[in-house]
Parts: sequence; C-alpha cells; structure tokens
Amino acid sequence: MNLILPLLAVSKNADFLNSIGKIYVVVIVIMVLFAGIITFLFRLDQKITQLENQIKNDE
Amino acid sequence: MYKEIWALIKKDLQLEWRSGQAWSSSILYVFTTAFVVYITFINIPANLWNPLFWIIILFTAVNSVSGSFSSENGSLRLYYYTLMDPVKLMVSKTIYNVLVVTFLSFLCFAGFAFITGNPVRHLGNFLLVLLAAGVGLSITLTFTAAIAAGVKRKTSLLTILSFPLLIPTILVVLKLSADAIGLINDSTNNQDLITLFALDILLLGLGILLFPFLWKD
Amino acid sequence: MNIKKHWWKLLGVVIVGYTLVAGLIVPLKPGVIGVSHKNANAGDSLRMEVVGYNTHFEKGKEDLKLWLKGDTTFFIKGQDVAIFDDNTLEVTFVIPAMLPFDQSVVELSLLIQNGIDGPFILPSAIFVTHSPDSVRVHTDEWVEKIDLEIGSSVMAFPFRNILKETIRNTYFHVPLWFTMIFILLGSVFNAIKYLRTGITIYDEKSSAYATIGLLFGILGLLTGAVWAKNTWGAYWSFDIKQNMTAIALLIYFAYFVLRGSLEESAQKGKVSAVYNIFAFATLIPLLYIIPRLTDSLHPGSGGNPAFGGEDLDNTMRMVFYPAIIGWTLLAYWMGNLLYRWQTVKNKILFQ
Repeated sequence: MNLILPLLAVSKNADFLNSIGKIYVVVIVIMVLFAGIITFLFRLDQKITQLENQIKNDE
Repeated sequence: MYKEIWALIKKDLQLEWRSGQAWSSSILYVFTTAFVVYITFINIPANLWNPLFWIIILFTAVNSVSGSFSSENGSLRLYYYTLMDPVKLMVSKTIYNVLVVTFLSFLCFAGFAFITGNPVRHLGNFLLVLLAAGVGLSITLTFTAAIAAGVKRKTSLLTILSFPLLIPTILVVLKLSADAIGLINDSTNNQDLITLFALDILLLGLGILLFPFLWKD
Repeated sequence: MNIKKHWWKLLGVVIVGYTLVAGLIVPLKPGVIGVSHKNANAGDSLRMEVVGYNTHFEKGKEDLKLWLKGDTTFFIKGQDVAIFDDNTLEVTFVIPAMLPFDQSVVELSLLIQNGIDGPFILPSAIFVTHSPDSVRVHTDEWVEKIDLEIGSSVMAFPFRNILKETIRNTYFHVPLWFTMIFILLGSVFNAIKYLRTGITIYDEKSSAYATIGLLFGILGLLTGAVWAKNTWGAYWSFDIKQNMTAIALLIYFAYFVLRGSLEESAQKGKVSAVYNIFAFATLIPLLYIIPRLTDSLHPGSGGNPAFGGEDLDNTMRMVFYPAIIGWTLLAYWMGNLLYRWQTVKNKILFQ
C-alpha cells in the first residue's frame, strides 16, 4: 500500500468535521435548528409559568 | 391642492430661514464630517472615496430630516389635523426634505471634492445620481421621521428604523456613482436609474397610503 | 383534541419528520473526491491515484472503465487499473503528444463507469499543457466515441465535490429562509388587517409572527454560517438570502424597539403596523437589486453553487419543497402559541 499518494492521507487524517463526507456539518446544522426550537419552548414555558403564578396570586 | 402644498413648503422654508441656526448647523455638519474623514484618511483612493462619500451623505440626510416633524407636536398637531388633509402634509414635508437633502448633498459633494480631490469623471451623471439619491433618501427618511415623531430619543430610533430601509437605495446609488466616477464600466446604467425611480415611486406611494394612519390618533 | 381543527399541526410535524428521515437516509450518488495529479504535459504517461465516494470499484471491477475526456469527442482510456478498495484505485493514462484543441492548456474530466455505479464524472480533473495544433490528427491513443452504461437507478442525491454530504443541508437550512419570508408575510398581512379594522387581535398576531420570523432568521443565519464555513471557508459570503435575512433581522429588531418605546396600546399597534408594512415592502426589491449588484461590486464572488434552483435535481425537490411547507406550518403553529399566550396575558392583566 505504499503506493498511496498524499491525497488519500489527507482524506483519511481529515479533522472531525471533514470526516465521512462532512456529514457532521449536517449534524451541527440540525442540532442548531433544534436548539432554536427548544429555546422557543423554554421561553414559552417560562412565560406561561408566570401567567399561572399570576392567576394563583389573584385567587 | 398645489397651492396648499406650496404654502406648507414655503412655511417650512421660511421658518428654517428665519431661525438661521438650523441652516448653518447643517452646513457646518457637512464640512466638519468631510474634514474629519479627510484628516483620518488624507489620501483617499477613488474606490474608497465612493462609499465614504455616500456614508457622509447618509448621515447628513438623517441628521437634517430627523427634526422635520418636531414642530408639529401637541396643540399645533391637533390644529393641523382639523385644518388639512394628511396626504398634503406628507407630500409637502417630503418635497421640502427633498429640497434640503439635495441642497446639502450638492454642498457635501462640493466640500468633499474641495478637500479630498474630485475623482468624478462624468460630472453630469454624478449630479443626476445625487439628485435621484436625494429624492430616494428623503422619501424614506420623511416617512420614518413621521413614524418616530411621537417617541423619546428620536434621532437614534430614526437611525435604526431607516438605515435598513435605505439599503436598496444606497446599493443602486453606489453602483451608479461608481460608474460616474469611472470605477466600473457598466452598460446597464439606464436600467439602474429606472430601478431607482421605480423604488422611489413605490416608497412614495406607500408613504401616501400609510401616512393617514399615522396622523390620526 | 379535535382533529378537524388541528390537522395542519399534525401535517406539519409529519412533513418535517419525513424530510428529516428522507434527507438523512437517501444516499449520495457515487462521485470522485479527487485525483493525485492536477497538471500534466502532453505526451506524459501518468500513474494516477483516484479516490471515490460511495463508489464500488472492487465490487464492480469486471466492467470498470476509466476515461479522460476532452469535449464530447475526445477520450483517453485508462490502463493497468489497480484497485485497492471500493473507494481507491490507481490507473495509468498515456496522454498523446497531439491533442485536438486550440488552447495551450486543456481541461480534461475524469469519467468512470462500472455496472454498479453507472457513469460518473469529475469535471476539470486535470489540466494538460501542450503546444496548440489546430489540425485534428487522429492517433490511436484517443477515441472519439464511447458507450455509456446506465447504472442502477437507486434514489440518490447528487454528489457535488465541495459539498459532499452537506448537500443535505439544503433541506435543513435553506427552508428556514423561506419560512422566515412566509411568516413575515403573515405578520404584514395581519398588520394590514389591523390598520383596516383596528381590532387588537390582529396587532398581537402581527407581532407574534414577527417574533417567529426573527427566530427563523437567526436560525437561518447560524446554520448558514456553519455550512458556509465548512464548504467555502468563510462564515459570510455575499449571498442574496444571507444579506436579505440580515436586513430583515435589522428591520424587525428595529420594529420591536419601536414597539418598546411606544406606551399607549392603540398608538403602538398603529405605528408599528405602518412600519411593518413599509419595511417589508422595501425588503422585496432587494430580491431584484442584490443579484444585479453582486457581480459589479464584488468581482469574482458572484455565483454561489449551493443555492440556485438550477442546482436542485428532481430527487432533491421531493424533499426540499415539502421541507419548506412543513417548517412554515410549524412556524405558523409557534406564532399562534405566542399570540394565544399574549391574549391570555392581556385578559388576566385587565381583569
């Protein structure tokens, strides 16, 4: 296998993000997307908790 | 109709003229900014001259338009409201601002070219672009000034409200003036001018359509 | 739960689920990642290493053929193929001393085909320097026509050399931009309704949708930055959707600052509705203006390989369009949740 030229070495030793055809870039994109949606859910949850507390205080 | 609009414009001009201070401060603003830019850069190459010049124009325009609805507050506003059609007021304000901004941008060009040197090759084209830019900037700025009129910290709000809206105009104007300076050679100039005027008409139409909602409250 | 009333929420979830599954499971078509030589001279005999992606060199070695291809009538056949594994092989090309091209540097593409993968190509694989000769002298070293086999027609996404697997981001990133525009359109629509009727509900809907539009705009910019950094090397490129998103974000942040600085509710609704409509209307001409300017203001940076419609093939459309619909439905749902929270809050406050 010593015929193998620098090209293959580069593609085998590539950093994590560039391994397996850069699939981890897709993973990061999906993670960012869901992080955004979950942030929205958390914020909404907080807001509704505030409302609930307000109703409790009024009663 | 035209008479009323003209009367309003004349009133604004006279008010401004009599106070004197407003004019001189605007003119001083132009020259100070131009001089500060010159001092920081000293030698300005043509491809830098273009954006710098338009940024100065942008700030000058915002500065001069920001006060345009401040005199119509409180009781005077109510008086105007009972007296006249908001569309006429809007149109007269816009025309007045077009006059002022165009005058200031010509002045700015003269001052900036005097201090830093004049890279413009096709002067006629450049002046035409200045005029078109003055119209475009004033329409958007007049309208956003009307929006920001009832708010505290008006000038900073006017800046953040209007700058994103001015981007389309500024982009087209930058390209047209780059052509007038001779940085690029573009055959689609006329099309760009048409785009610019179409944009102006769109903005003016929207302004006229929406201004009455702002006025009556 | 009444299914007749909530069907669109279910639909949105199902569609987004489908795009996630299909967008991740469907494989890429075979392609060539790279070759060991970029340059050669006419008359050279090249021993070249070829690295493929999703290829089956080993399994399909019976009818494996490699060609260097000039336009449509110039093919050099590869000889002495040595296969290391399914993705790596070595091949020798003997480049003839006479090439039938006028330019002194000729771009040759690498064409590979076997029974399993079908034909696939690496465009501009190698640049050959020769002394131009306009006379087409046919020698035995190159042929004018080859037969292409048709590979198995498994559903697959196209292979693009710099994008590789990240071509899947077309379904997870690009729809965010469309969703932002659609939800902002909803916001403007409600602003118009508010100005015409003066009913507070529309103002609240309008501002709720604007919030969701901001969220999707920010997500679009973030995911776009990650993708751009790993394909083109910079977080920001002069791309029309990226710039429009940035401007839309500026506009709608300003919109919320404006809302924050007005106290009285009727005035707040009216003024912010007017700004909303006016601002959105200035956003749209950018679609026409920015592409016209990119080439002249930023020479060399025009042309963005991943976004334009011409880059979508039919397999990708089957995932991409549903993704837009699915995310828009979800965004609409999110906006409605926000607006319902706002109305409940107002009810409690004014009791």
